[in-house]
Amino acid sequence: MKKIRIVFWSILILVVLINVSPYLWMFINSFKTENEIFQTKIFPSALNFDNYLAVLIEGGFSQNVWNSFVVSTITTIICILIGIPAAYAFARLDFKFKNVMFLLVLFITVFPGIFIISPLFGFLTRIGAIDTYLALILPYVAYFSPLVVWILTSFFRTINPSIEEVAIMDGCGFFQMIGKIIIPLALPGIITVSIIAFTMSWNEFMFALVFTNTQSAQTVPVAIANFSGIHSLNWGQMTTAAIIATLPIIIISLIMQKHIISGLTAGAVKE
Amino acid sequence: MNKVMSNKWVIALYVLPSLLLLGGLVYIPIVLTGYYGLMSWDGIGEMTFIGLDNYSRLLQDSTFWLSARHSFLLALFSTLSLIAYLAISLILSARLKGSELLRKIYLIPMLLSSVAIAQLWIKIYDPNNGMLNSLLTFLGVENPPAWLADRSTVLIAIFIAIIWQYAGFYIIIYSAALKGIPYSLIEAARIDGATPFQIAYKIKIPLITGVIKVTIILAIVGSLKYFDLIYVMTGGGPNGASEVIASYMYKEAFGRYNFGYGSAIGFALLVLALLTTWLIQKLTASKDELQY
Repeated sequence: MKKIRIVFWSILILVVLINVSPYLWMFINSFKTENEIFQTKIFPSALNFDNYLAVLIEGGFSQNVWNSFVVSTITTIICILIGIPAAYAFARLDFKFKNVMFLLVLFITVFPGIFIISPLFGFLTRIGAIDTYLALILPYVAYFSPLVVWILTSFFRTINPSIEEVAIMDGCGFFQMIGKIIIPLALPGIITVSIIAFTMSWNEFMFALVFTNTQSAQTVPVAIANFSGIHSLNWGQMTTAAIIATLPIIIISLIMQKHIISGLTAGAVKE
Repeated sequence: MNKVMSNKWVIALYVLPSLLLLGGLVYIPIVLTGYYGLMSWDGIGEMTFIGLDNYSRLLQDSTFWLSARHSFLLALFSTLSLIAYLAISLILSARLKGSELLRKIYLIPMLLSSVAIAQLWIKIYDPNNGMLNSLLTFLGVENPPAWLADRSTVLIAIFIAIIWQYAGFYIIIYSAALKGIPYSLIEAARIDGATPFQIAYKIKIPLITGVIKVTIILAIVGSLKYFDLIYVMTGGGPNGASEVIASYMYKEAFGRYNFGYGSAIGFALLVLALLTTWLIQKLTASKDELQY
């Protein structure tokens, strides 16, 4: 048992190091001056926020953060609004072609998005949406809502149907029952999928790269990718931009990590 | 209640918004991509029907086959790495303190944007000031490789970054599946004198084969369509040495405005993805599912 414990802890420590050290290294670098980055010292001589100021204010990165925030928030809200009723129907109601429809939804969660990028580009150009928030929200909702529906369906299935029957018998209307009983009971699931939908929209790169082309609509990932083009030699600012882009997600993940894990495993593990 | 629940209009009201959206923005475009593949089109001007010309060009296009080979190598690499993830998850499933901490830490890379991860690894692999080469120089290695700039090391360097990104996802899935195995089963095996290795190999792994199958499919399909990290880290370079199917399709469609040919590449990608999924399903189809 003692041997096992030693192996266990050495693997644990190694894995933690491999996982965390690149990120920590980048975080520390974001406080260094450009000269300090190229020295061998690990820590900066003083905390230096120049990189943050340069990226957020001069580089206009705050506009990209705002774009990402708006696009991700609206996408999440729409995904939830259309996801809850669809998931409820798949979990509880009986109708023709239900399984076929559910498969059509599920298929999209593994479908390569790049496959439909040309027709989507054509469609978004025709409706004049290219380089607006709409050009991102539409494909994001289409592409991310299936995962929302899938996870919510498995959450709804875990709720005991007799609760709903009792409520109906006690004279609770159908829509009232959904709003007052189902949604509160499924709230942990709804929080989970909201976080997942928000994170996926926040991080999405390929659609954003193709469907936006100015800073007025470009999201954080595209801005970071472009950073290497425009300021190719400024390491400090590039790492800082990457840190700013990931910080909100890391904070959310640490606060909500239980929810995220239960959501991620709901799809693959349950049934 | 049954009256309301079987009402067609209620059902339609519930499912239609979602289905209409998916139909319009995913399924119609799938058909359109198939259609574009038969055309010569620059995205703006007139389309000309050229039949299967795009596909016969595809068969002779050495860049396509090179990128297909890289995509398959990535798929193979990702699938093999599942063994390591499974091993780590099995070790963590020993109920020791610290497992929870590890899960927490493993969650971070998978929630980060691929682009930020790409930037991070560009810095790590930088030939002169990167973390890796600084470490190698410190350890006394002379002339460490240039990693992303070197044709012979670029693929493996990118694969390692991708594996770093996805490790957490698979470990979390495996850990959750292993947690679902009743403890009494393992306890019984232990009382009968089974070693931890035997318990893992003969009890735990067979009981989670369903989940393992899902992860194999996810790893293969995910690898075949992989784009983000490669596009940002190398753009497929140097000289096509890290080109994959998705990055090649992007270049043809949005770099050279060959929407017809790009769609044909995309179609090949879809067929490959579906074919491998089907093959895996076929190969791993077990006659009797194990249950506890």
